[in-house]
Amino acid sequence: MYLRKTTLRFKRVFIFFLALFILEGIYLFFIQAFRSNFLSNLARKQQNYYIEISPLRGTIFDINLRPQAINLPCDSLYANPRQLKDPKQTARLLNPILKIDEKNLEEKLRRKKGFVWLKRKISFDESVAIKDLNIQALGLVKESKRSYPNTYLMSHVLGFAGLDNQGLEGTELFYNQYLKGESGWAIILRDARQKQLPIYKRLEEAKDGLSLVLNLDEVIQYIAERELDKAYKRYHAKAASIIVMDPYTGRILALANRPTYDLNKSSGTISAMKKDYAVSSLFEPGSVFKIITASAALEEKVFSEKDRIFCENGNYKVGNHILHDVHPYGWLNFRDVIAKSSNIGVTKIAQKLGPQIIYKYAQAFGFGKPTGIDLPGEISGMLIPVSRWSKTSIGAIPIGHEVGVTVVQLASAISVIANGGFLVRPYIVSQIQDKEGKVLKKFEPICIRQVISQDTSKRMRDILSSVVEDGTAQLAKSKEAKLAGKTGTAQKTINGKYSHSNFFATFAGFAPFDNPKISIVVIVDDPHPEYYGGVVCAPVFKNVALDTLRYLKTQEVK
Amino acid sequence: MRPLRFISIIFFITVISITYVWQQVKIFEAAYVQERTLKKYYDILDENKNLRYNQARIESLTLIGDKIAKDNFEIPSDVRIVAVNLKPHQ
Repeated sequence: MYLRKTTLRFKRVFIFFLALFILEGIYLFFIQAFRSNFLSNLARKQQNYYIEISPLRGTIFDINLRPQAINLPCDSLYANPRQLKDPKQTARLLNPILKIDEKNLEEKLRRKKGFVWLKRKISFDESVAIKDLNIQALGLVKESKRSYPNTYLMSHVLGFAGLDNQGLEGTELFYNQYLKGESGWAIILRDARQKQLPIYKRLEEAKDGLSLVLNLDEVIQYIAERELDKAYKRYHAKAASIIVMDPYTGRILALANRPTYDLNKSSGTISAMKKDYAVSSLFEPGSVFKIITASAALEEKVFSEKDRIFCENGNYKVGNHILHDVHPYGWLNFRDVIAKSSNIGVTKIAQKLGPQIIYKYAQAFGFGKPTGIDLPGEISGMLIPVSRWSKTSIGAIPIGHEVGVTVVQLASAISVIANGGFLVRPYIVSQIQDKEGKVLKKFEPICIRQVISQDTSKRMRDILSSVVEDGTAQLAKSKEAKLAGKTGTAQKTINGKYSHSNFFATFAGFAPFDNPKISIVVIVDDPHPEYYGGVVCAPVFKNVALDTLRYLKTQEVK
Repeated sequence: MRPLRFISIIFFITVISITYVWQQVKIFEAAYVQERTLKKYYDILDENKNLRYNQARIESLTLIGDKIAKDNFEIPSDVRIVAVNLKPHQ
């Protein structure tokens, strides 16, 4: 009886558990058959998290591999307004740290969203202060910020990158495709508290950007900027530019403009300061352009250095316009016409050559077309075709009026004289490297054409040295090295008329004159009270040339 | 089904489940350790980048040059004698 009862009870318990087991089985089957997609998606959403991996932007180095633009880690501040209890108080606390308008902050903090950027790429001090506030609804995300250790040096060449590491100006823009790299992505796991863990379910790594090695040399750049800055401030100029170039290869060793700006504070800078005058601004070169007329005359064998030209004692009628010289001259030989920069003498040379020859040589020297420099925004300049010349053009274009050039065009043109007669393409970037320093692409010098013969170039070098020795550029004379070049002073056009009080002062030259290592162009826009190229720009040229030659000598020793 | 077999199956399933969960817990533990290590590593890397940047900034000619320019310093020419005060090695 007892045994039978026990067996019965055991059977009941067994049946109960069996029924439970069957029910569970049915429920599991139901889940598997009807709810599996929904639940697995839910689990995937909770556990897996898709993240985009940003690439690091490539570094920009100078020719000696000194970093000019690098990436620094930084924090970006966001808020979760849904978690925030007192937006007004939070805005009040954040205002002195972030220096953002309190109302603007409050408006962002009141948005009905789970994520709002408050300020991207904040400074280290700002980040520390935010952490000290210890507000739960605020968070920091690690990002990288483009930083420039030399602040304003090479600002117009380097340009800058925006908040999303997109190149916006200069080489940062021109070579953005190489610098930016490629984003990667990953699916990582999160724990129950939604904390991201470094467990990758799938990973596609980001490809960091490539690095650029510039032709520019930090030291030469500094020398050029220092001297340009002195002239810019001393003569209260509107703008100024300088280019130092290797005349044989076209490598740009230095390029600077004034006004300039601190690359680390580019967002608050007005656009006029960011403008690269050297490649995107047009100006009348004035007497510097006489180099082209003189070269044409020698190359075409129409004149030689000793040929005498009557300079009409300072007044000469061309069309219905009377041409003047700064100092009246009578008879001058060809060399002195250039050395003393006689407008009348050069006009008479041009009249004998004819407009077609002048135009042909101006084109051959690279005017009227972009040089092809690897910087954004280069303009072509202005060279009027002979068919559109007026009666007075023959007295204007050969002396550098009615023609618009850029500083970089002028640097290429003076290099033709310095290097034996070849027009070379100026270029900024020397090579592209990967992170390990392996060279992936090397930019070689490009010779566009031979403009004048070796002989003409040598004769022109001699003539241009006499401009410095006993001509209009005597302020560039030095005992240390023999320099050569040509001064220019051009009236500016104000409201369609030539101004008598606003000028462009210019100097284009090279050093040393017999074996040129560098060619330099200096232009100062609207200098006061002095305005002659020989007074304003020649000393800049001299100081830059001498310091650069000394520096290059030390590099040769190394 | 015999009760012993039933209990054995249940025990077996439980052991397998616990092993699986234990393994997952260990993976997550390792991930937490790795996360902490990575954080330290990236912090040191960031610090290194900041120091390098500061070094480049301190060595920058814009900083040094502007200071020495006030004293009219120039790169000496061949003919110029430069006196250098050398302190004895300490």
